[in-house]
Amino acid sequence: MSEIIYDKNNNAHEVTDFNDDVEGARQGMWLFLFTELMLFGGIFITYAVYFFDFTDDFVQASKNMNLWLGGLNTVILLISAGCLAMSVVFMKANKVLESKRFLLATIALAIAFIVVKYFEWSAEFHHGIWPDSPTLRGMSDGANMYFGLYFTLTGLHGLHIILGIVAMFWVLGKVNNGEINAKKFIVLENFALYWDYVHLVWVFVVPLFYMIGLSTGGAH
Amino acid sequence: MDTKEFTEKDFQEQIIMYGKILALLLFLTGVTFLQPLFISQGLEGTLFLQLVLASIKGFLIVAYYMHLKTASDVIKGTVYFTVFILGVLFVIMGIDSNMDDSVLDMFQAVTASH
Amino acid sequence: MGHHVDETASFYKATHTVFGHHESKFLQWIFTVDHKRIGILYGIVMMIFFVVALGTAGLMRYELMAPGADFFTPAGFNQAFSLHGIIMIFLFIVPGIPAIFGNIIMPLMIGAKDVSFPRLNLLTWWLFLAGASIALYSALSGTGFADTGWTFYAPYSIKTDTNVVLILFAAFLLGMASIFTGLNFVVTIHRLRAPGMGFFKMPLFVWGIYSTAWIQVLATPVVGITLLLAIFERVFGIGIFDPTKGGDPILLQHLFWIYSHPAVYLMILPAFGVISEIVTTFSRREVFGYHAIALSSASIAGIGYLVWGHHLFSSGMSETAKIIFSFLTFFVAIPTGIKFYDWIATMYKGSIVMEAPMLLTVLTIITFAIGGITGVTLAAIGFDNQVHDTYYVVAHFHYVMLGGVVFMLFAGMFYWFPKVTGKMYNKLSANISIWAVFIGINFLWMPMFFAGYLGMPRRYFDYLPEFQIYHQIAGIGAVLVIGSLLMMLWNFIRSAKNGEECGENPWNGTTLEWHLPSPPPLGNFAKTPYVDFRPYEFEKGEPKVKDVYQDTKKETK
Repeated sequence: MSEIIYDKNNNAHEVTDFNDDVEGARQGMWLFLFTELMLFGGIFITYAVYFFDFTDDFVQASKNMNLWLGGLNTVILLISAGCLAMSVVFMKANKVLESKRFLLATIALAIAFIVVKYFEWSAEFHHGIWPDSPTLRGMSDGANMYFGLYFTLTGLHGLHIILGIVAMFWVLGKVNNGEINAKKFIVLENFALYWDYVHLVWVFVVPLFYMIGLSTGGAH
Repeated sequence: MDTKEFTEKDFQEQIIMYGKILALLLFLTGVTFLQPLFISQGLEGTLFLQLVLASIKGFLIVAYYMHLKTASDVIKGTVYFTVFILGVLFVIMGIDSNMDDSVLDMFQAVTASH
Repeated sequence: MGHHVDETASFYKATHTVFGHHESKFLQWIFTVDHKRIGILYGIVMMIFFVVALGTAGLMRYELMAPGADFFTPAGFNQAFSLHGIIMIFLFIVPGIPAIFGNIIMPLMIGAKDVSFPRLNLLTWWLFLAGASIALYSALSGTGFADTGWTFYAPYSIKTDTNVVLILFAAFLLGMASIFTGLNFVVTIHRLRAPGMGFFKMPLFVWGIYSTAWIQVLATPVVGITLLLAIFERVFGIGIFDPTKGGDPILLQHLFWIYSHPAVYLMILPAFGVISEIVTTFSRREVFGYHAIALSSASIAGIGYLVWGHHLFSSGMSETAKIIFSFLTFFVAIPTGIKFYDWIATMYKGSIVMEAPMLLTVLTIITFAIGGITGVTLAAIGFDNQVHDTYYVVAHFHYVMLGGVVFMLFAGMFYWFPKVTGKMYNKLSANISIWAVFIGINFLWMPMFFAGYLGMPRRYFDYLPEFQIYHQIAGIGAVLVIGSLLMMLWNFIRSAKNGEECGENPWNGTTLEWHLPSPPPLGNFAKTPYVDFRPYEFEKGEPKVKDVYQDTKKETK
């Protein structure tokens, strides 16, 4: 029950209750995403600076990327974001079972993303490419920067996916015990915002790390 | 508070909307990966096309999946503000990488001519 | 929960905790979600670290009393100034006023019952404590505290064998605490203002906290990623800042200052907010230029975001960027100047009451002006090249940080001490310590302007004999400053126990916190007030709006 107070003219005013403030929770989540945007923004600025310094090296290094695995992960993440959006819509419509199924599908796809990522990194390690590896140190300065940024960015992104998976199990628990329901679904909705943000970062990782190697330039 | 009732009609509309966006994003992802095959471009062209595609996808995600379109003005305003700040950081770092010592050269050219 | 908590009891007597009910008083404190208790918890931890960093500074001054090695080894001196800088910046000044007064006072000022996310608020304190503990642990273990200075410049920070990774991680955690505090405050100010209180009816301290919170949210992550990259550099050798692999060490400076310059505004804006409160209350006059002060806070936050490059004038940056940064840096002095004139105009023809908070504030206006104007000289590229990395910069920085932020933190302590504890501090002791610290700061840092101009570099443990006189005068000042700051702390500790009872509004303040009992009840306002008045309404030197709390109390059942 929110508190109602009256001004001198006896007009009623509702006092926002901090325990039950959906708009506040939404704003809080967006602010958190801004900090995330600035965090990843820092890496993207670093990328921009080194891309400018070592353009040809970056294009060359990008040719080492496995486009099939990268593409697969892009599609996986895209569908997972779609599933989570569906989960929210079904929850709003009080179709809890369907909502839960879509949430479980999102978890499965997130785990699939990590597995693909594992194979992708393993392949690179297999080629002797990891930070500070002898092979990498033998390559150009630009390749060192490219892979330094690649491992940092995809590593941090992967960490966000893993934290997301943990959080999804927590959300699932809340759905199960009824704390998230058709009337109160802000936690689920906020988590979907986080997941979309993680997806958004990936959308920009793809062109900058995977696709530049396919250009006809930079081969000289 | 979301006091509005979420009706069956809203439900159907939203399912269709999310479905459409998902299809559109999948299509754009296809274009992203196939672009070098269809329109073979130099680095600048590729980077430009790719970033345009990524930005369109980003816009769709933020506007629909993150439902910024229906969010409150406070949230909208702060999103624009944050993107603006990040943009400014890029511009300033870009100036530093790009311009080198052109102003110094200009001064030196002026002083040398006297 | 189930356990009944009396919302009208003093917040020292009753509290809400994050889980369950605890019999132990200690557990009730460390698991509390009450914003007032969390503010006090922050204050206690901060003051302990403040004394440690103060002591380190004292030892460095002792070392510098005479040329040659007296007390520290050269490496030990490097660790000492790093410890002093890191503790003072990351553990004291950055969280300082927002974490203490932002927590305790801001929700009271806007008529809220708590912050928007009380449990997140408690989490920030735990993150803060974890960061502080790791910093302490790094000093006592292995190869000892980092010797990089608080700026962690590469490539030295990636080569030195001291405990740099630990301290980087500690700073990362402290950054997270700062981000979540800022996030909490922005949402609180957006959502929980009492009905009727529009943005331009908020007290100016709330405006200061609001601008600060935005910087915390948007700038701190940039230093977060910088610290992470530096950690990855040391642990995995990713090479981003390592020139032997093609990396650019200057980039670390850019990323570091993208945060750390806004961070100095993050430190000073809440202090400006405290000045606005104190000047208005003790001049018994409505503040001059309310909108100008409020919006200048916001514009300082905005412009302050774009001036980081002036730290890199001699690091190797393009001339074009230097000129842009220099111009923007000059520009930021304008909103600051506007504030100063507004405060002075507020005092003009006011009936000024020189209680301790006001005395310290007036003296701060002097010391901050000295620090601020010498800061403007540093924005000039040519002059900066002469005095870069000298005692001139050290003196400028300490005039604005000690003579601005720390002074105002202590002024705020004097001002709100009666509200938070219900007791009055010892007024004689307060006045003596305030004058002593003001004289001390001028003895300590005024000579450094001259020494720096003549070429005394900062961070050196030794110097040429001709600089000895400056160091000796500074030494006298150091004794005064340290002594008087400890005297203030002792005053607070002793008065909290046996000070006189002060009543709800000893200063005739007008903002909402002065309408509450001292100390405030757990639930703050039993009934939320309707705010149809401006924050500073005086009539013939008396607050115009009286006893909002009594009114709101009567109407509750």
